[in-house]
Amino acid sequence: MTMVVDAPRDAAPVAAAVSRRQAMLALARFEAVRMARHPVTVAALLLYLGPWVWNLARPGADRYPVLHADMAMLQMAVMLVLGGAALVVANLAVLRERRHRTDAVSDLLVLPPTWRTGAFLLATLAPAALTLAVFAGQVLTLALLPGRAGRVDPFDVAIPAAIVAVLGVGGVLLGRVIRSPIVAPLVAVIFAAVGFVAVASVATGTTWGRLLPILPDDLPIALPWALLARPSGWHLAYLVGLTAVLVVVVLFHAGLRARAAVPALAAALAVTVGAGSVQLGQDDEILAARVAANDNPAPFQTCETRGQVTYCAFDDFTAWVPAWSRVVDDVVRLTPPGAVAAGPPLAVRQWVWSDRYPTFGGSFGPEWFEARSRTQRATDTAAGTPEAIPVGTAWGDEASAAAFAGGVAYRIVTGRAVTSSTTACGPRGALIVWLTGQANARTAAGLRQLDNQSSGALALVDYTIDNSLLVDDRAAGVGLALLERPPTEATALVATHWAELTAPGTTLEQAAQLLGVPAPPPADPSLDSKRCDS
Amino acid sequence: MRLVTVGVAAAVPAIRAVRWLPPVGGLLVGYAMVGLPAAVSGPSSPELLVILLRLAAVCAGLAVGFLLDDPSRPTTLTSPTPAWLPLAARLGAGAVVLAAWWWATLATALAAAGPASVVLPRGDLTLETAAVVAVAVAAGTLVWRRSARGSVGLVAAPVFLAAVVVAALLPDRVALLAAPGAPTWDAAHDRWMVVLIGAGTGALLAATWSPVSPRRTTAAASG
Repeated sequence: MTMVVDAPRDAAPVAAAVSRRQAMLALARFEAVRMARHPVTVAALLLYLGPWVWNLARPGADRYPVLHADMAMLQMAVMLVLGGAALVVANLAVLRERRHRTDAVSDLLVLPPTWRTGAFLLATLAPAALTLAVFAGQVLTLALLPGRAGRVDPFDVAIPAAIVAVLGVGGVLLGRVIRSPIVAPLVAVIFAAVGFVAVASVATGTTWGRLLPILPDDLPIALPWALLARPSGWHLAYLVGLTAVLVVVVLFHAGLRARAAVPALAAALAVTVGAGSVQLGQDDEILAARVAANDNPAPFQTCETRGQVTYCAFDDFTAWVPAWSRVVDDVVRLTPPGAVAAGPPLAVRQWVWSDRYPTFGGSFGPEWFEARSRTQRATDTAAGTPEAIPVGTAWGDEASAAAFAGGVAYRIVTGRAVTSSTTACGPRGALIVWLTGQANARTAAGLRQLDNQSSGALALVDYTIDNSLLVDDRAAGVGLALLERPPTEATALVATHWAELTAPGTTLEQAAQLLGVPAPPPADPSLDSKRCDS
Repeated sequence: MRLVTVGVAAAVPAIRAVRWLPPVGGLLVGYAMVGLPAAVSGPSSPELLVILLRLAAVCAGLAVGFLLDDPSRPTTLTSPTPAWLPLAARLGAGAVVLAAWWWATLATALAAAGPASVVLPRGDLTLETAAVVAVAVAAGTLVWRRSARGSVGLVAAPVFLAAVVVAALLPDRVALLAAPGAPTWDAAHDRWMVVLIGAGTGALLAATWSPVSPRRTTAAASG
């Protein structure tokens, strides 16, 4: 028997709306707490934060982050781990009623489906807020490191929370449209696939990857703030619009009246499409600045003098000068007095390969190397720091410390700076390898690492700049053998024979004899076509 | 002879009771991950193809968990066949579908790689997918043991995805995800073999091991 029960006549509609709102908020609060402490959320937080904390806290960790580049790089992990978790958790929450076969019971409750769905949508703010707190904590930690470079973009701090909100609301939508719990994890995997394809394709100059929740950087190296083309504000607006579109679609599906849904959807779509298309544009001014900085970074830089050495760094990278100066001092300390006075006063200049970066590898002809050498020398001379030692926009890892120490050693031994592709042979090459490996523990570790990666010649390369120092394998062998000898003995030997070792006429065999290490194997004539710059 | 009769009697309804839509949907999404980029953008780099093949294998792993979903479990728990028999029947039927799916997916990937496909080692990639599926089967079987109401994929899927994230985070020394042509490829595939054997053993134990031996139950019942 069915009975129709009319609402009591004296119940005012206003009171009903208030009680519905209160009920919705209560439900939202309940669901938010459940989402925040769901095992999947907890596991995702641990998986997201654990490796990051370990990489920062382990012995020998990289404490020289580039803030804007690191923040952009974390977005992928946020989308895959935290966003994926929000998607799955929100989806499971919406499907709970059906899973326990209580959906029929819920329909009898005072709260209509639209309001109940609204509660789930509000509850997805919990994972988003959690993400905002975690990410802000990460940024704050990085920003408090004395060696941080770059700047904090406030929009980029908010983007991860917006990514999680989009995916959480997406989970609610999927739960309402397709009532199977396999859909949410599958969509998380689809986001991973599209994310990888997008990151692989931004390097080709396309920008469609910005339509994903993440905003990928367009170069795989850290750029100075002045050369950055990140429409982060527009991207955040796009994400907010996208969230609004999904919210309206979900509510409409749950029974929101078209009179309210259509204008809301139109407004949300306008924001999404507008911001989404604006962010796809390339900033020509920035692209021109990148070309200019690639040839002449001096106008973007600040110079300071520490000891006898001038250091010129991009404005937001000056925090790295003390670390560079320590490496320079460590190398200079190993050379006899007067060795440094040979060339022009020591200087260090930061470069960045901001134009035509070969993301997929590439080969350049000798003319290109010649041109790059000339440009570098002209820039340094014009800026009053002739033969300045180049350094890139990566620091903190052992390999870049070794590459820089090699550049310093090359400058002291030969009196010239490393430009484009420079090959060192003979006793000078051996000396450069020894100075690099002896300077300090980090450069020594970096030298071992680069030696393991190199084949043919020991490559002291920093991938953020377009020049590289190669040490011929025979010369590198003598240098590595000298590193095996006790440091005090080796330092004394090098100081005694400095003049002979750096003289152009000395052969590698003579040098090995002077240094008391086994003579190198005879040169292989088939490999002898390599040109040596020293 | 009786054993065979019982086996068939238990297996046929078990396979007929499988809800095929979620697992097959998962496999189709996995195939699309490799097939769609190949159809849209032509030849891809081997590195990207290997990533996409691995993500397709993750989809297959998700599908396996939902293959074990059995809402009728509360009513079939009391049937006089070993509990693992319907499970084995489902997995056997799933294995046939999975094998066909993997053959098609790998063939599409090799076609998409074009002339660069020589650097894609089919055997090693198949080993990876088999190991991923074995991990999913192990996770699914563990959940299946404990779910009296028969919803396995729901719990197994997040557990499996967490395992995938952990595998992606492994440090270089014990990494599983090597790039094609990297010097660590061979060592990584020795580890994949260990994963395959470990997960297979785990699944077997989870499906058949019982803390109380049947004889003791009988003795206790009669005593």
